[in-house]
Parts: sequence; structure tokens; C-alpha cells
Amino acid sequence: MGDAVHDIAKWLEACGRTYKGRIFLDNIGIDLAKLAIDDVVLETFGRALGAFTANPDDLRTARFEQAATRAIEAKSLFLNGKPESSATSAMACVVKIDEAFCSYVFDFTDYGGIGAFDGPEEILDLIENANDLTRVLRSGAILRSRLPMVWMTHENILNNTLALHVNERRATAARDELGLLGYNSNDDCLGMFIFPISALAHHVLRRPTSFDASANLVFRSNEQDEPCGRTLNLSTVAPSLPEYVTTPVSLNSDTRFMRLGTVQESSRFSWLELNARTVETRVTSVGTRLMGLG
Amino acid sequence: MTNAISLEEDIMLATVAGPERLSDLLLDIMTGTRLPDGEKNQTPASIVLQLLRGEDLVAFRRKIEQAFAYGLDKWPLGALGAEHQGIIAATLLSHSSPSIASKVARKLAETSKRDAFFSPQNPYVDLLVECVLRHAGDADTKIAIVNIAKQEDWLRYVPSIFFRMANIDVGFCQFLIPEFIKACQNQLDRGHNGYIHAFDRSLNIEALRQITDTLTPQQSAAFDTLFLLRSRRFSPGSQIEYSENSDEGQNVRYSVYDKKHQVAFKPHHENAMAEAELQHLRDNRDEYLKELIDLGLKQERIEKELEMA
Repeated sequence: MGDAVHDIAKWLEACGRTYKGRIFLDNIGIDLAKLAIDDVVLETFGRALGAFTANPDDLRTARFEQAATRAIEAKSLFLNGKPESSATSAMACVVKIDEAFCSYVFDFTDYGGIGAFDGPEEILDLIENANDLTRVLRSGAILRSRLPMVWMTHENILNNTLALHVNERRATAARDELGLLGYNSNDDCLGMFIFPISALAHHVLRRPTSFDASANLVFRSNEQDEPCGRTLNLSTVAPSLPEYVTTPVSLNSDTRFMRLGTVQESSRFSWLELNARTVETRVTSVGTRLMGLG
Repeated sequence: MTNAISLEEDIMLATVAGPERLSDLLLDIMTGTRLPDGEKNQTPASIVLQLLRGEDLVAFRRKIEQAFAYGLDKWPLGALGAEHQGIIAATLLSHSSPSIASKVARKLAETSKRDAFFSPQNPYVDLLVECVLRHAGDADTKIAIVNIAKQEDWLRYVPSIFFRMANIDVGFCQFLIPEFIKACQNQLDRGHNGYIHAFDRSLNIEALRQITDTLTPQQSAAFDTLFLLRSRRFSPGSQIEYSENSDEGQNVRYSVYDKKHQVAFKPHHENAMAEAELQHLRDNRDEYLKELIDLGLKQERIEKELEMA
């Protein structure tokens, strides 16, 4: 368990021994089959992986996940999925409202600083009641994840889905429907930013790929011929809402904010259950191709 | 087949191996090389915050804190970007042990790299100020933070510092009042009076009253203005003009003009002070009434004694 990776063969071996690794390889297989990524992208990944795994000094704590993450980031293999599309309706991005996120996006100087609030719920009150969101937004604020990208879905589809739940369950439902395993504590406060079409006029929406998700996201590449991905529902482990990835988005006067509330319970998601849906032939075939590239 | 090793398990193993190994792992977490599950739409600081607040990790919190203290000596803090410095800030904030957090906060304030940490370009600077002030137990660290805050670019953070300290250290109030006034002025110029309301909510007024004797005339003038501004007369929506002038005697005078109510206040002017005192009387009517009654009874008794004599 948890062997350090020193070459691609070992990397593949480590992948094969873990549920997440097998799922990751299977996802790459789907992406290739559906032309969401092409051979050039796979080759770039393989060679970057080979470069990392050839140097043990660079792998102080490396496991297959770390090696994959570093290869993807080194060669900017995220945000290259196909097909590309433009926004045809308002899009929504669900976020967790905590002190770290608020410090990054909001400026509460006029309200006595972030320490003047008793907790995330009080912050949600302020943001939601601000008639003009720009009064609380940090100047030049952008929305992004750890990587310079954002995951989005259609606002109307998400809202219609959430409307099936009572208010108290909306945050939990959003978490499950959008596969947001990172928002898994009982007291996580969620909200969503809504962007009209005009706010995304210069943004390309892409179908998410295994490289956008890396190996640490609950993710399943879409097996359908669609311009979007299909978020994995954490409750059912089945394809759920459409999702796209795009470059970081500016938060400004066009942006709206909506409170979703507090997550009520931890997710029941298990990697084992998702692993049961991987296809052995795809895992083997992608592994063989990567061995030839490193 | 085994399941993927979780980050929590990784931390447990590193904990057993000692603070050096654990601090290496923490650096990997902060730089994104080692991540927990599910980082979609999460900022780096949120990821670390979430991880270190995980219930499973409570037993290891102290070890993690020790590793942070250990790592701060050898991590290339200056080489880390603002994003990663923010992660450290968020992590500090998540700590519950005052002693170790104070140690780390002091290290941040005293290190030669502190300018990078406390730079306005650091998107998590508010958070960092909050957590340092919350955890820093010693006066030197607080003075270091205040000195940073007194730089011009830092004026916007003074209220946060002021609120955080006003309830704790009376001495620092004296230090901060003139800066706070400037920050209020800047804010009022922009049409906001949030500081005044926050001031109302959080200030330890009695602590402030105790320091009035030690104020310089300039600080005293600022102090008067602060209390005047605090008056509930300035409701949201009031259009307030605020100005600072020096007269020939080089005394600084602060003046406030409420456009909405067409009322001018000059705190150093007799009438304005009378107005402020009147307002204070109104606010403390019952207390003053009792004092007056006591005085009246005392006066009555003295007069009777004089008559008898």
C-alpha cells in the first residue's frame, strides 16, 4: 500500500492496485474513445509522467495520484477537452462559503472585516441581502478552483432539480447532484454564483475530461455523445447533471448570488461502488499505450 | 486489491514518523502536490482548512501544529506565492491551541518575510490579520502587527485590528484611535458608515473611557469625534462630510456635517460637546436620574443640618 513510484510500470502497478487508479485509467479510455481528448494529449501526459517517475528525488512522497497530478499540471493538460461550446443559458457555480473562500473573493472592510461576523450563515445573510453584489466583492475578484478553472452547470436545470427538495435539504442535494465530495461536512455552508450568458461571452465551455478531474475527484467521463460531461451523483453513483469546465470567471455587477444553506449529512459515496463500474479492457489498453510512451 | 490510501491515512503515517516527515507532507498539501478527495470549485486555502478541520484528525491536531511550527523554520516561505501564504494563514486560523498558534503568529510577525505575508496583494491578508490577532498572546507580536497596519496601504485593515484589540488590550486602543479615525474618514468619504456600526457592536466603551486621561490633545480630539460619529444620529443613508483641519495653534480639529439632517458637529466646539454630552445624558437617563436624586437627598440633608446648626 502506498509504494513510492519510480517509473511508469510502477505507476501503472500502483494505479491497478487502487480503486481510484483503475477509475482514472478507465476515464482516460472513455475520453479517447469519445474524442474528448486525442492521442497527442495522451502522449504529452505519458511523457510528463515518464519524466517525473524517472527521477526518484522528485518523488519524495509520490504515489500514483501525486505523479499524475504533477504531470497534468506541468503540461497544462486541463481545460483541453472537446467539444467546445458557448453558454446558451445562465450558468451556475456552487461554492462553499468559509473564511478562506470569503477572504479570497469578498471584501468586508466596510463591515468591520471578516472577524466581525459570527459565522458563515451571517456572511451568507450579508451577501444575499446586498442589493449590489459589488459592494461586498473584492475589487477584481475572480472565481476559480485550485487549478485555474471553474466547474459549472446550467442554472435552470440545477434550480429545477433543487426545487424537488425542501429548503433545508437544498445544500445537501446540490452537493450530491454535482458530485462535490469536498463539501462533505455537516456544517458546510453552500451558495451559488449565477452568470448570465453575457458574462460568459468570452468563455469557452468544455466537456470535462479525466485530466480536468485528475485522480482525486469523484468523476466519470461521459460515455454519451454530448458537448457536456455528466456529473456523478454521490447518492446513486449514476450520471447526473450536465457540467462544463471553463477558465476563471470575473465576479462583477453581472453576477448574482443565491444561498443554498447548510449541508445536512455526510455523503454515502464509496470508491468501491464506483470502481465496480470500471471496464477492465479499457484499463488494460490505456495502460499498454502509456507503457509505450514513457 | 486495496483501496487508495487516503490523505488522512498518509497524515497518520507521517505523524508516527515525526515532525520532519509530517512537515514535508504539509508542504506538499499546501503546494497542491498531495490533495484530499474532492477539490472541485475549492480554493487551495479552503482545501487545507477543510482537511485540518476534519473530525478524524482531532487526535493529530497537536502533532500537526508542531509540524507547522517546525516547518516554518525551514519552508521556503519567501518563495511561496501569495496563494500559498494564504493557505498557511487559513491553517493558522484553524488551530485551536492558543500556545502553538501564538508561537506561529509571533514567528510570522517577526520574520523578515512578514512583508510578503502581510502584503495587500495576499488575497488572504484579512484572514491572516484576524488569525494572528486572535492567537497572538504577547504584546510584541501585537505591536509588530500594529506597526505594519500603520503603513498607509494598511489603513483599511485598521478597523479589524481595532475591533480585535479593543476588547482585549486597553493600551492599544490609545495607540490605534487616530488610525481608526482616519479609516472612518476614508470610509465616510466613500459613503459608508459600516465602521461606526461595527464600532457600536464590538467596542468596550468602558475600557476606552479609562484611557482618556493618557491621550494627547490630538488623540483626545479624535476620540471625541469617534464618540460623536458613534451617535445614532448617523443612520444608514445619512450623507456625512468629514474633515480634518489644523488651526493656527496647530490643534487638529475634526468637523462633521450631516447633509441629510443639515446639522454640523464640531466636537471641539463648546456647543458640539454640549450636544454630545446631552446625547450621553439621554442614553443614560436612568443612571443620571438616580445620581440626581441621590444628590438631591444629600443636598436636602445638608440644608437641614445647616438649619439645625
